[in-house]
Amino acid sequence: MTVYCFTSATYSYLGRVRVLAKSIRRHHPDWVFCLCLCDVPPQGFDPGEDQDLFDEVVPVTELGIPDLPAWMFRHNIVELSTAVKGKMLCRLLEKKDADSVVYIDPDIALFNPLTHVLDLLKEHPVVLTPHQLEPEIHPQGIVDNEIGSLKHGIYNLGFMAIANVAEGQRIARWWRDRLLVYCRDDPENGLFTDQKWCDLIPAFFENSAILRDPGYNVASWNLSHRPIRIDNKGQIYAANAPLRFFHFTKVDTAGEVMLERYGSESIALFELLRWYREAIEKNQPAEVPPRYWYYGTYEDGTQISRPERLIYRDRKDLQIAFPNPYQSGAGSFQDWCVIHSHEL
Amino acid sequence: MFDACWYLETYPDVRDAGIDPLEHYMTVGWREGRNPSPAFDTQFYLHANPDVVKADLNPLEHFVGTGQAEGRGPLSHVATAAVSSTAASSLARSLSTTQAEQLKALFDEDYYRSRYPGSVWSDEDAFAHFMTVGWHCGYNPSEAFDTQFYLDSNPDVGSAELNPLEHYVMSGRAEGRPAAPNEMAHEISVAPDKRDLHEEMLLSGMEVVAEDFDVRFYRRRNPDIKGTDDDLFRHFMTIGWKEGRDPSGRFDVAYYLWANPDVAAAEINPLLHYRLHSATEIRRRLQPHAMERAVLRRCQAVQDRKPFWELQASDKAVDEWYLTSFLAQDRKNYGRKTGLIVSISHDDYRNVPGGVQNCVRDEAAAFASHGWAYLHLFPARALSTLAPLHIGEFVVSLNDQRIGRVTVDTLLKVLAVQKGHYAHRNLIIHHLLGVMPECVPVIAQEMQAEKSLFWLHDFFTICPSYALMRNDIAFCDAPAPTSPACGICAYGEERQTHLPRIKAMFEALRPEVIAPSHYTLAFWQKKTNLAVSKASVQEHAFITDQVTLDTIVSQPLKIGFVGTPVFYKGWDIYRKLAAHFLNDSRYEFFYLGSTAQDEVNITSLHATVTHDDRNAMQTCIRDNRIDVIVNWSLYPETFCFTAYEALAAGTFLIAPKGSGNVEDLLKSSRQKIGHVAADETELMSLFEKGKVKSLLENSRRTAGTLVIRPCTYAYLVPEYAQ
Repeated sequence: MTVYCFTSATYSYLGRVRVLAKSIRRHHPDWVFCLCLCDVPPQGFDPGEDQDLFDEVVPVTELGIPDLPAWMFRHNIVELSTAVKGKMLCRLLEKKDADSVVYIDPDIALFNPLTHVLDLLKEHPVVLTPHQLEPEIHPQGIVDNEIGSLKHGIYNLGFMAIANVAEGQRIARWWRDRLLVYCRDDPENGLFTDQKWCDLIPAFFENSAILRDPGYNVASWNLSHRPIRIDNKGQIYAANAPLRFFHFTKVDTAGEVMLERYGSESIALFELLRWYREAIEKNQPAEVPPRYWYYGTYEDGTQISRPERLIYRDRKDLQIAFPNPYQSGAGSFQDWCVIHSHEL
Repeated sequence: MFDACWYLETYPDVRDAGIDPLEHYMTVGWREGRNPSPAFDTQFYLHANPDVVKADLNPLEHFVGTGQAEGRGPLSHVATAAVSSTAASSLARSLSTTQAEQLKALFDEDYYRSRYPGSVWSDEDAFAHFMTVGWHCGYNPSEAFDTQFYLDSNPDVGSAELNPLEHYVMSGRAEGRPAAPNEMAHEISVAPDKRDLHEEMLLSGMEVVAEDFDVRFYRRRNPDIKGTDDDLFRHFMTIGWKEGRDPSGRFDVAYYLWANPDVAAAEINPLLHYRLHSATEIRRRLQPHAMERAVLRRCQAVQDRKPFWELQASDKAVDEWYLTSFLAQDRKNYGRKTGLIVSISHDDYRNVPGGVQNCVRDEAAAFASHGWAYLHLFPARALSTLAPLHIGEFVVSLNDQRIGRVTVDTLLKVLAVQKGHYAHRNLIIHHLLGVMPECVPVIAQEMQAEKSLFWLHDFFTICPSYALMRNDIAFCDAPAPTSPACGICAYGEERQTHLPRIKAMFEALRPEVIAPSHYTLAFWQKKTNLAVSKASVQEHAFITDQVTLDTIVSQPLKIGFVGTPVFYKGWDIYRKLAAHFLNDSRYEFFYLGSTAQDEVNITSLHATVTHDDRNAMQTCIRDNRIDVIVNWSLYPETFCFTAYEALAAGTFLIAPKGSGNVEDLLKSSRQKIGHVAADETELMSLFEKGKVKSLLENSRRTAGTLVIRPCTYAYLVPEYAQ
C-alpha cells in the first residue's frame, strides 16, 4: 500500500515545491509525490525538468471541475491554489493502492520523517496540526497568534493527512464540496480559504487526530513555545522534539522580523532560514518571470484586478453572460469591466 | 485612519497579491467588510448608518468627509472601551512627567466631552480615551489641535501610526508643524516661541532616554564629535541618530530602524520610540544574535563560493624541460642532493601569513639547510573546496624560489625521473584545500616516495568546513553527513562528495598522519576511519626554561586578546566582554596584533609576528604587562600558537570548554596557569564577580622560552626534534 503526498502551487512557487519534494524524497523515498498545478508553464520553460522529482503533475484543467474558466476566475492566486486541494485529495484517494494521502504546503520542508503521522493514520481518519499548542503570555502574542488563529482557523492547513477509510473519504468529499463554492479569503465573514473550514472537522467527523508533537508544523506563529536548537549529533529540535517540518511562511525581511519577534532566542532558527532562502533561490527556474501566474491575466496580458474577480464571483448574470471571463476583445468580460468601471 | 502595515498583516491575501493596500480597501476591501485599521470598524459603521449603506458610500470616506463632523462613531463602545483600558496603563508607564503635563496642557476635557457626546462614559478618563482611542477616530483633544489636519498634513506620522498629539509635543511643534489649519498653535500657552519649544522638546526627549545614553561610548566611537557631555547627548538626539550613530553599546540604531520600518519611514528618533513603546510591544534594542546573524548573512553554500584568488591566465604553465632544469640547477648551484621533498599546501607560504604557512616555512628552511630539495606545490586556483576532477594545476616553488604554473601531467613526468638524482624522496601533505585529491597518490607513486606524511592541521579531512563550524557560526562536532544539521549547513551538500574523495585518497596513499596535539589525534580517530600506515603526535612548539613569576597583579587588571580579531576566534565575545565592563575601573582591555580595530574600551597594542621576529607577540605581552589573555576560539584548536605564546610570556590564560588543544594544555598542566570556563556566561561572571582577580592571585604562572620545531623535518629526523 502506498502513501500519496501532494502539494498545490503555481510556477512562481516552483523553487519551493522542488525543495519540498527533495526533502520528502529524502525522508520518505517510498511516497508518491504529486503536484497540483494551478498554472500554465511560461514560455521557454520545460516542465520535463522535474519528471524525476514529481511522480505526477496534475494541472487544474485535469481535475474535472465544471465550468472551469468561470470557476477559476472567481479566485485569486491564494484562493485558487487552496480551492483545488479538496478535489485533488479525492482524486488521490480514488487510487486503488492509496493507503493514505498527505497534503503539504509548498513552503514547507521536512527535516525528519513524519512517523507520528503514519502511526496516527492507522487509527484515525484525519490528522491535523494546530497553529498553537499552548496559550500565549505576551499581549502581542495573544493578538498575533491566538486571535490570528481565531480569525484564520485553529488548524494550519499547510498540512493535512487523510486515511483512505470511509470516514476519511467522507471528510475529503465534504471539504472538496465546500472549497468548490466557498474557498474565500474573507475572515470578516468567517471564511479563510480552505483553512477555516477545518475548524469544523472534529465536530462533524468521528475520531479526528490532533497531532500535538511540537516538531510538526513549526512556524512564526508557534515559535514562542518551540525554541529551535541543534545538538552535537546533528539533530534539529523544536521544543525538545526532533523537528519534523518547518513552515517557512515568509522569507523576506518582514518574515524575518516576525521570526525574530517570536524565535529570537535560537540562532539555529536563522540557520534554517539561511538554508531555505538559498535552497529556494537555487531551485527557482530562471525562465519563470517574477510574480508569474498565467491565470492572473486576461488573454491580452492585462492583470485581472480583485474587484473584477469579485464582481464576477458575486453576479450570476455575469457568469452566464461570460462563460470564459479570461477572453479579451470586443464583447468580452474584460471589455464589460472597462465600460462598467464605475461599478467595480 | 488607514494603516497600511496593519492592513497587509491582517489580510495576507492582499499582501500576497501585491495590491496597494489603500487602493484595495477603497475599492473592494470595505465591500468585503474589511477594516482599514483597528480604529475603524467598517461593519459597525455600516450597521450604525443605514443612510451610508443606502447611498452605497464608502464608509471610511463618509466618516472622514462628514460622519466624523456629525459625531458618528467609528467603533462600537464595547470595542472602544476595550482598546482604551489596555492602552491607558501603558501610556502612563511610557510618558515622562513633563511630557504628560505638556500633553494634558493641550487637552480640553470640557471641549472633548461636549464635542464627542456618547463617546466617553461619564466615569471614564477623557484624556486616556483620547490618547488611546480618540486620536484613532480623528477626535480633537481641544479646539487648538486638529487631529485629522495634523495627520493629513504629516503623512509620516500617520504611516508610523503615531499619536499625532504626542508627536506634536515631542517634536512636531519644534519642527514648526502647525497644529491646526488656522495656526492656532501659537496661541497655546505652553508654546511661547519656536526656539524655546525646540529646546523644551529636546530636553523632554533627553529626560526620557537619559539612562540610555552612554557619553563615554559616544565620545570614543565618534572622535569627530567634540564638546561637553551635554553637547554629545544633544548631538545624538538631533543629528547623531540620523547618521546611524549608536547612543551606547546597548542600542543599535541601524538595527532598530531595519526591524521597525514604520519608525524609519516616519524618521522618528529610534531611541525615543523604543522608550515610549517597549512597555507594550515586542521591540528590541539590539538584534538578537547580531554577530552570528552578520556571519550568516555572508554565509553561502561552499561549493558556490568564487575562488578568492586565481593565477592569471597569462601566467603560462612551464614545460617538463623547464622544471627539470630548475631542479638540476638547484643541485648544481647549491648541492642539494640529500633528498627530495614534495610538499602540498593550500597557498603560497612564502607570502601568506598564518600558522600552517609558518610550519611550511620552518620545515622548508630546515630541509634546505640540510641539503634537501624542497619542492612546494599549491593550487593555481584558491577554492574553498577540493578541486573538481581534472582541474589540478599547481604553482610550484623550489627552496623558496618560484618556478611557476605546472600541470599535473608535467609534474608527474618530471617526478618520475628524479629517483636517479635523489636518494630519498618524501611526500608531505599539509592541506588539500583547492587540491584535486585524486592526483596525490599518483604523485607519491611516480616519485616513488618512501613516505607520505599527512598533517592534521585542521579538520578538512572530516568536512570541507575545516574548523567544523556549521554555517560558519557554531562548532558542529562532525555529526553523520546524513544528519539534519548537515542538511541545512552551507558545507553539507559538498561534504557528501568530499568524504568519498578523501576516503579514496587515503586508501590509495595510506599515509603516516601526524597530529599537532593529542587532542587532535584522539578527535580525528573518533570521527574517521581513514586508512593510514601510522598515526602519531608531534607538537609544533614547546615551552622550556620556565621560571615562576611573582603573583603581582596590576590594578586595574590588564586583559588582552591575541591574534586575528575574527568571529570564530572569539573576537565578538571579547568585544562584548569589553563593552560590558566599559566603565568598570577594575579592568583595562587590549588587543595585541596588527589588525586595525576601533572597539570602544579596547586599546590596540601593535605586534606583528614575522619570520625574523617570531617572539614579537611575547615581547608585546611582556612589555605591556598583560595579566590575562582571553583565548576564546569557538571551535577546538588543533594547535594554538597564540596560547603557547601567551603562556610563554607568563600571562594567565582563559579559554572555553571545548577549545581543543588549549583546554587540554590548561587541564594537563599541574600549575595554575589558566582557567577553563564552561561558557560565555561563566566568562562574564568571572569578571562581574571579580573572580578573575582571585584566580590570578592564586595562579602559579611561569614564563619561558617558546621553542618551535621545524615541523616535518623534526618528524623525519627525530634527533632534531628536541
